[in-house]
Amino acid sequence: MSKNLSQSVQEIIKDKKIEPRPKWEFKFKEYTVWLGAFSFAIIGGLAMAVIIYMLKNNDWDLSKQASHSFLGFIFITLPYFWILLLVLFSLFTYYNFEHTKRGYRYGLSYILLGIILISLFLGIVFYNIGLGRVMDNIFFNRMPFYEKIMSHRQNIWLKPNQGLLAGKIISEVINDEFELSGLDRKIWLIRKSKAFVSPIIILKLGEPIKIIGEQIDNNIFQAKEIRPLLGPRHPSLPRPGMRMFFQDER
Amino acid sequence: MINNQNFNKKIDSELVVLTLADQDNFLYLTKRYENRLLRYIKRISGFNQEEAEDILQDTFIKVYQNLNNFDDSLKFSSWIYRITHNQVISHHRKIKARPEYYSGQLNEEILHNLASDLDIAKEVDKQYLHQNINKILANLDFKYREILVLRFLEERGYKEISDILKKPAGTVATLLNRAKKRFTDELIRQNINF
Repeated sequence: MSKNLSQSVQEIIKDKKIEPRPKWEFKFKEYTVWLGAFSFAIIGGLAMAVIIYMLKNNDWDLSKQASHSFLGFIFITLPYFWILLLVLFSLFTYYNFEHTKRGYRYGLSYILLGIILISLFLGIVFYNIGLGRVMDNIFFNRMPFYEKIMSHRQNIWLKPNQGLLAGKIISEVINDEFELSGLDRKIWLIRKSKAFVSPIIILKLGEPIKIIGEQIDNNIFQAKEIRPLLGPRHPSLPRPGMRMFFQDER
Repeated sequence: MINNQNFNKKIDSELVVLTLADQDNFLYLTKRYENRLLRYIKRISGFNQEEAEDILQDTFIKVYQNLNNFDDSLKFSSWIYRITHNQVISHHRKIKARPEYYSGQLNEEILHNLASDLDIAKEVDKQYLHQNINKILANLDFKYREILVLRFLEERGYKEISDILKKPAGTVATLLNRAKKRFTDELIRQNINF
């Protein structure tokens, strides 16, 4: 058979009317793979933007108070959901890139390094145009599971015995005292004499605040510093991981 | 169709263009690669003549169907070896058998190059290598056997091997080093037990 193999291939091609697949089919496949790689990289960039947004609003100055160590604080407050999403879409990007025509020529470490740098670059760009905050808000409004997943970030404000308390003012401020409903709905009497109050908040009924201070009694808390709970003022976009408490008000 | 004399002067990529214009010209490409690829299939797989021919036939048909996907930045030989490699793997998966090994006739120069590259100093080992290269290769994993075949028996460069196996050049170098070590270990092991 070997002497006639080439000839028999010719005959099979003719008999079965086999044709070369058209060029556009290969081009289409190649562009689809590239499009997939770009899309996944952009989604990874968006995830990175939310991570940057969350890390920038992470109350780093309270790390010692909120946790026994700085590492412990990072462990408590890292936005795992977004990190997981970033890793996942980085892997999708890698998979697609490797399946482009020449993707195999680059080693795993080079491709991954490239993807990390691209995600970081896109993440910084997206963060600076406000997409980190917008993405966080979209997920909060459209994904019922999201707030639950992210709730671990607000738990640091449920530690009155460690001097950290957050909630909503539920009374007028009289004689440097007011009542606060904590994130766990527990009612506290707050004493604010000598406390530093952030100039961007007004202590009025319904105001969401964070207090750094000291627990004096079972339901009495002495404030040393009062900060806005929702970060930079934006009525529709509250601070990340702090919205469950205000959900019923919207 | 071009005449035989012209055909001999044409490079592979020109024949690809001519084949896309006229299917009959594909014969020149298949004839050019028939023996080489048949030997390659038998070397990496150990399939018998008939099975190897079946695989080669499927390979050529696949090559013809995918001619429009041939990438000019590659050597045509790398591309056709890659398709052959894929066909062998796919056939291996179908039958899931560990075949007997075949390497065909090896010339002295190839054996000499192999022995010096593997740093085989002992004369007794060299002699054993000359007589039993098939047996040694047959006992290696497919990935090691194939890369050794490509480098030493098919005499392909690193870049070509990288294009055939679709692996980065660095990975090819690492794989080749491991394969050489396995080969040397196997040679010594067999020679001692001989």
